[in-house]
Amino acid sequence: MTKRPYENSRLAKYIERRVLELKPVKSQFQIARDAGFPNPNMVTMIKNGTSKLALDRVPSMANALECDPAFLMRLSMEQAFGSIAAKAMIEIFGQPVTKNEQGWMQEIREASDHTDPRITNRSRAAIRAIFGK
Amino acid sequence: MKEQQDILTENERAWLRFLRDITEGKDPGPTLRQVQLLRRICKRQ
Repeated sequence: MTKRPYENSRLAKYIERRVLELKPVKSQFQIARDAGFPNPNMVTMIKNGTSKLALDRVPSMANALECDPAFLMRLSMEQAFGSIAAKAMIEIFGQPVTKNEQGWMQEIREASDHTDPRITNRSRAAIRAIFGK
Repeated sequence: MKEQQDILTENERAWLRFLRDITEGKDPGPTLRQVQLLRRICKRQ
């Protein structure tokens, strides 16, 4: 039986989803080629959790998957070191901020007229409502 | 990556942590509807 040590990682699930989303415009073979994998089966192996995504492959893989490199790096660190170790690394080296998160920060700055508002219980409740939680 | 972190204020980092929790790390971008609601919240504060 094939061992799949990374099967339940958030990265494996995310890559599986992106490959599926890109299917109408890009084959898995093309994704592997764009990411620079000599072996096109590598994407399948990452997707099904047989293999992990090497950290040095994150930029080209993010480009191939047309996703945010900071987000993919966060998931890759989690997969490579485990969630607790990844948190420790992030605490020391800083959090990779995705383009979407930068978008949210920009909206919060504009909406608050650049007053750097604290997040209050009231704003937490309102944000929950925005996301239907 | 570190530079991006440094330009965020402590309050902004708190907003970011909360957004990540609430979206379960799915990294959604802000939609027009969400931005409209956000502006309404900020006006009330």
